[in-house]
Formats: sequence, C-alpha cells, structure tokens
Amino acid sequence: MSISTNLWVWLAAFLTLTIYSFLYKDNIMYKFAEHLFVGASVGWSIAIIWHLTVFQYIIDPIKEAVLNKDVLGFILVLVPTIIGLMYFSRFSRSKGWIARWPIAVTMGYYTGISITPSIETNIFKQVEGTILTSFNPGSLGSWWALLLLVGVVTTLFYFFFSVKHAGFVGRTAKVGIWFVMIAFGASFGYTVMARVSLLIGRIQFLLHDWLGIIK
Amino acid sequence: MMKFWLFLERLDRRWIYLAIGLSVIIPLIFPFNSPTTITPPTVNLWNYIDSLAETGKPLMVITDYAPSTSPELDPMSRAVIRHALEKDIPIIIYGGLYPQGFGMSQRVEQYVIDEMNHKKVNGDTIIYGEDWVLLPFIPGATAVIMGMGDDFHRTSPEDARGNSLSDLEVTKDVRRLGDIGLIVDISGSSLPRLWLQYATTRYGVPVGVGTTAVSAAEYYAFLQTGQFVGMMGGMKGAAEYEQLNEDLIEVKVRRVASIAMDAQNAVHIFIIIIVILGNISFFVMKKNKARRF
Repeated sequence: MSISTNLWVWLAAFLTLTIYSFLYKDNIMYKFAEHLFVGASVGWSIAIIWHLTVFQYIIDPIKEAVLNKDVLGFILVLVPTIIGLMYFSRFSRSKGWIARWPIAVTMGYYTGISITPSIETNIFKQVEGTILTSFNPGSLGSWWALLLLVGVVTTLFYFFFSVKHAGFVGRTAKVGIWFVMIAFGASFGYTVMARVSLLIGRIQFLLHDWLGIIK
Repeated sequence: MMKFWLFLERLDRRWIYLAIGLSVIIPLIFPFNSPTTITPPTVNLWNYIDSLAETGKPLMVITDYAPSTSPELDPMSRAVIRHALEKDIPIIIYGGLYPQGFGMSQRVEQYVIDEMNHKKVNGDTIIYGEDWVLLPFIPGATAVIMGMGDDFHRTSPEDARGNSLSDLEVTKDVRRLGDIGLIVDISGSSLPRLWLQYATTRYGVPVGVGTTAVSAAEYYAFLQTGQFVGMMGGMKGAAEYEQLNEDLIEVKVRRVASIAMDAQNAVHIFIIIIVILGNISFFVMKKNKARRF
C-alpha cells in the first residue's frame, strides 16, 4: 500500500467521494462539488473557445491581414465574424430577428453539405447490407441475414402508421415490436455495462492512484 | 416466504448501492482473473491496424471524448497506440472535433510514450515527429474533416507543439485524408458516424471505432455492412484489445480494462439476480394484494 503524495490526486479523490456521498443523501459537500464542477467546466470552455477559436481564427488573422495590407484575407475573416456576431442580436427584443440570418447560413451550409453523404452512409449502405446477401442454407450467416431481413421488414411495418394495424399488417407489426423490444433490451444491457464501467474507473482511481491498494 | 418478498419490496435502495460498490471493490482487491473471450469486431480492428505495418501508411487515432467516458475509452486509446508503436506504425494522435478531446489525447500520449520509452530505455526510444505526431484542436467539426480531406496541411498547418507538419516525418507525405491508412475514432458520442459520413463515404478512408458500451449497440449496424472495419465496444472491447496485444505481440503492461472485467462480471451477476428477484417480488406482491381485495 502506497498512498499518493500528489495534492491533485488527493483533491480528485476528495471530489469523487463528495459526489458519491449523494448516494447516501443530498448534502452540502455534494452541492459544493457539483457547483465547483459546473463552474470549472464553464470557465474552462470559455477560456478554450477564447484562446483556440476567437484569438486563433479571428483576432490573429485580422491583425495579420491588416499588417500585410491583405484586403481579401481581411474580408474572408471579417464577413464570417460579422455573421457569427449576429447571433448576439437575440439579446435585443427589437433586433432579435437578425439572428435568423446566421441560423439560415448555418442550416443551409450543413444541410447542403450533409445530404449526399448522410443518405449514402445511413440509408443506401444500410439497405444494401440488408438485402445483398446470397442465401446458402448450409451457412449460419445466411440464416442470420434472413433474420435480419425479417427484423427490418417487420419493424418497418410497425412504424408504418398510414394503414390501420389490423389483420396481416397488425400481425406483422407485432413481430416488429418483438424485434424492437429485443433491440431495446440489448441497448439497455450495454448501458448498464457502460455505467458500471464508470464506477469501476473511479474505484480503480481511488484504490490504485490514491490509496495504492491495488496494482 | 412472504416476509422475504415484503422485505425486498421495502428494501432501502442505499443497500443496493452499497452491494454494487462492494461488488466492484472486492474483485479489484482480490481478482479472480476471469478469461477474456475475443470477439470478431475487435480482432478485425486489430488485424487491420497490424496490416498497416506493411503499407507504411500512418494510423490516425482520434480521442473524441471527455473525462466522463475516459474509464472506458482511455484503455482503448492506450492499447491502440501501444500496438501501433510496437509495430513501428506511424501515428497521428488527434483530439478530435471538440476541445475536451485534445486534453484526453495529451494525457494518453504522455502515458503511453513514457511507458514505451521507459521500457525501451536501452533500445530504440520513441521519438516525436518520427513515430508519432500530436495535432492541436481545430474548431469547425464537419468543415475540419472536409478540410483535411482536401488539404491536410492547410487545415492543420502546425502540430500541437508549433512544428510545421511538412517538417515532420510522420506527416510530411500526408497531403490529404486519403494518405492515411486508417482512422480509429475513439468516442462516446455519435462522432464516429460523422467520420464515416465524410472520411469514408466522401474520401474513401477506412474508419474503425472504439466506443462506450452505450453506443456499441448502434454501431453494430455499420459493422454488419462493413462500413466500420472493426470495433471495440465498451470496457470489454478494450480488454479484448489488451489481450490481443499481449497474446500476439507480447505487450506486457498493466491491463487496466482486463483488471476491471472481474468487477464488471461481479456487478453484472449481482444486477441479474436483483432484476430477477425484483420481478418475482413484484408479481408475488401484486398477486397477494389482489387476493386481499
């Protein structure tokens, strides 16, 4: 056993324990750690955005363009900066409508840029993966592919609301619900695993880095 | 027997928290070394990275995560970087599309490089610029990926230490994203899909993923179609990768994820038991109440 002599490790251990104290009941130490976390996160984010975005991509390039008398460079930085600053008009009731312009630019840019790759990645390739399988009764993979196809089709039936879920459609949609429920179960199981992993990570920190009990 | 079900129904949830805490602490102090079964998605990723040694193309490891998911994702980043460095595969370590990732990349970089150089103190040490490069945070998300796809050096002219990418051995020939052998995005969010959408679909660069268990279920669909070359899912995926490193290239280091799997197994067994008992208790008490009224 070798207890850490690092002050930061002790501070991190103290904050970990204060956060976990909430499991017993809400208390002032938990509130302290919670507020400290929120404050530190916001402060850190502002500092990072200020130094790595505002300075690096606005102030420094504008200074450089002015010093080099580079008019085009100056405009290329200034125009997007003005568009970005328009967001702040939301603070004024009478001028709030100006914020629609940067929203329109952002929406237009991202929609335009993402339509093709998004459809290609999330629809075409997924549909291809569902239907393009040569069936071989002797191969287990083929049976899995068939199950996948049944799962996709029946789930689509369940999410098809233009027809009343009765008769053949209703029965097929019910099979779809089973697939959806199994997917939720798998997803929930994985979620439990993820949450437990976070607890293990903290306990490992306490037992290894702080107290030195485990190797 | 009814007293037992009544006891379960009225049990203070804090006893369950305590039991889960003990289920984690006891296996960590007294490990029972549960075996790690290796699954195809992890093997595929390991093999793909291993094959880069023959092509000479660099591997880009992206630490697209924050401290909140580091217990699951840090072991993955370390295992992948160790693997690449052991096989002399040049690495570009990139903190990803959000600022938190840069801090994580610095931490992982420092940990693994110190470990490797300590191990190889009398042999080849790992040298910055020749074996690996660390990229800085670049704001812009989608625009960054597209910028790298068109002109890598224009999007990130310098590394995180202020060196020009053209002067560094690892990056001097990486003119665009297509010059990279594989991108491994280690992330607890939906960012791997963004890399898939732009890096793979638009620029044809293969992408592998290391993700939290929460996101793993979602990514199986992209593994089945072959869009991701491989995947590490949650702490189990990290433990599998550590096992492959040890078995196939004899990387003998502290296997953080593998150590944690004993605790993971113990908690899972405990949760399964309480879910079953909770359900039985629910139905027994419901039946009992129905009888009384």
